Amino acid sequence: MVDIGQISILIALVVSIYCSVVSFLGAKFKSSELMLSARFGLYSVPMILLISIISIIYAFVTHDFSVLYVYENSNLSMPSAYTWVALYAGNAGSLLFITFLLSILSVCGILSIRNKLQYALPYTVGILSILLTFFIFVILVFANPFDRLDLVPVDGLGINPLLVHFGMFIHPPVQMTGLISVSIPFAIILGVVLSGKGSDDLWVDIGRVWGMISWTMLTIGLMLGSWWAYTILGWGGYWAWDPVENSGLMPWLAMTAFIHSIMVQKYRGMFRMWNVILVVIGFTLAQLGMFINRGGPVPSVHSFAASTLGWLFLFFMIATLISSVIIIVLFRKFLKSDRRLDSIISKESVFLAQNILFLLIAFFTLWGTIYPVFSESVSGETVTVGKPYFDLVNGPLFLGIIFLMSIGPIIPWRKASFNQLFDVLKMPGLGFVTCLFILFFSGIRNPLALIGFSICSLVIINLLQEWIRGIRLRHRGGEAYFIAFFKLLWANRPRYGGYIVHIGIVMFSVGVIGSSFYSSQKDFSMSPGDSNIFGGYNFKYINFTNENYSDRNESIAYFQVDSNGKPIGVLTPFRAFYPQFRIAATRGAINSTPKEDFYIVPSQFEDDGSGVFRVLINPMIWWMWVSAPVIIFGTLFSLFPGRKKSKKKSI
Amino acid sequence: MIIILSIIIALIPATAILYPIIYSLKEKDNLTHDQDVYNIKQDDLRRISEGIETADFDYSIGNLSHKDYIWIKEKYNSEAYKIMDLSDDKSK
Repeated sequence: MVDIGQISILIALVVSIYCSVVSFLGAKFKSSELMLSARFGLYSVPMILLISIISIIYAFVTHDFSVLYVYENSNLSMPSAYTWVALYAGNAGSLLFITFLLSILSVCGILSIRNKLQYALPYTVGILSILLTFFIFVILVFANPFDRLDLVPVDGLGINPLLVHFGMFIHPPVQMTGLISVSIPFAIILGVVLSGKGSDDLWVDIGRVWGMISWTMLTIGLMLGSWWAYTILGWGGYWAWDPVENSGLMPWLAMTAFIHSIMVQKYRGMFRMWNVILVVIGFTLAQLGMFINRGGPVPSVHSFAASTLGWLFLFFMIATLISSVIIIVLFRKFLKSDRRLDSIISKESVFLAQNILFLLIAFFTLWGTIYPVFSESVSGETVTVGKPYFDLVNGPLFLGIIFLMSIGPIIPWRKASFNQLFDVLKMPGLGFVTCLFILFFSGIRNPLALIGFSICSLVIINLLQEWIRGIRLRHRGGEAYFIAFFKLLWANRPRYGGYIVHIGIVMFSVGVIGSSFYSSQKDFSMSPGDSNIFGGYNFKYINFTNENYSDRNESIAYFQVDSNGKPIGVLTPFRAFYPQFRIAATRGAINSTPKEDFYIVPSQFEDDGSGVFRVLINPMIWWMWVSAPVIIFGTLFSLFPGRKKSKKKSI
Repeated sequence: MIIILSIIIALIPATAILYPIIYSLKEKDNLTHDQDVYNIKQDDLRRISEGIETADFDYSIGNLSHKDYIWIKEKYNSEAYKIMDLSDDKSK
């Protein structure tokens, strides 16, 4: 079975090379047969790679330790459910998985443009085939998950204990899909540019849909990663500005800018070249993530430490970036727009300002991420940049974005006047000032937190005002309020879907602001029977147990917790030690409410059960996790296809 | 056994690749130049139509002043006339 997997990869490589070459040849000689041959060839790649995927999963499930990758990433004692997903626990397997995802997305991408953007097909097929060729080549030559061992061990080394978590089933595949899916809008848009039809905007809708798919996957991936870090790593936080976290955030920032900017192209026919540049930046930053994750020079808790493939990805990233720049320069005349901004006070200007802020955050994050390498090469000393830098630089920029989010929806396209804007902003502005005062007199004195919360209120009041005015308008037309509400939403899904996403982002921001400025923590040395009070919580250490498993020893503490006299229940934080890996994993126990999280985690345990416990009160984190379904719903709602208007009607 | 399975796997892409060549399949060319130009014009008109609809809505809910509304509508109308004129010139 393993040999079949190996052969399949080899066949996939040959097919990808063929598709890369023949697709461009077909375009050059205008040969329909060659173009179709390359396209059909690309359709077959996912099927071939699926055989490889099945082979390696089969090797895991049957504990075939003759395969080096299986030996390194599984053992007999690991929970059987994880043998199915251990495929992407290591470097080689995750590369194979990413390549498989890319092949599926490539086929979906090609099918989505087959009719509407036929002229771009051969170039898009060619670009996607080149990407696939690179990935498959790296797998085959540098990170082959089917490499064999001469002597077959009785047991494997096992999976990294930190990966044995429910998040393993969702976070890695979603995050990988998010990162690799940026390749699809990249290939489609560059395909359009290469075909010389960049000047028509027929690709905008498809580009927008693919941009939003990538953005959604990246959003879910980042959220799940934060949730995983919060619940499993036992440090009470969810974001550490780790290089790999940043490498997931940077393409997200670029794609967020893109999905807004492309609306300007859709409605106004502007920002054509800017959108192409944004998608190239997004793709390049996703490649940079691969470089960092696969053994680049920046140290990270996420990266595959033993991998040295990073440099290959860096080389590929530079090559694709240079090629993209050359293509943009050569075809720039097709990308110029003859339309100009009509007024500074317009939706277009807000989108542009917001784009600049997103790119500034991406730039500062990139700078902070690569600074250790830069400092080492300049002064010979590695200087790492931590949370204070990122918070200081990016915090105000994010606030700026949220502010733009509050005025963006109410400013019309093309032109608006100050007086009208002032008139529309009167009520939300009043809400903003009221919120500021209420928060100030309720004890919030940090200026950034005060402004942050108040701007969030401004966004919500603005959106509510928009909604209410829209509903009233429909109500005047004879619809009941309830019906008017739904019909208003349904009539303009991109607009109101976007508003729902904005509400989700505000919920997320409230969680970030609350937990960043008002978290508190304290260490308590406690023995069974002890009680303590912190932040209005009374917690009693009732008991502890030691449980020995084949791969780990678990010490579990039982705490009875009350909040201001109201019983919450028994929380069970624990610490597990994995002798084989010499890793101790602590897991916090959390009581989560919209107001705050009570988080307790053991720092160390003695044999008699006494130990040091860290207690954290994290305000409003609950809102972050709840925002995820709201954001996803809003995105799906805005993407939901409507009935196609007849040609007569559309004119 | 492995050789037979390998051949079977290789047959999947081989069939896909060779089929259009052997049968001289042509790409269904549903975009002639005229249709292409027509689609672009359609797209421009669609943009204008959506722009007017949005301006109408923004005006009705009070986001847009009367003066700006008239200005925007005139702009859209003149753009639409330009596109129509161009189409007429081409057809003549």
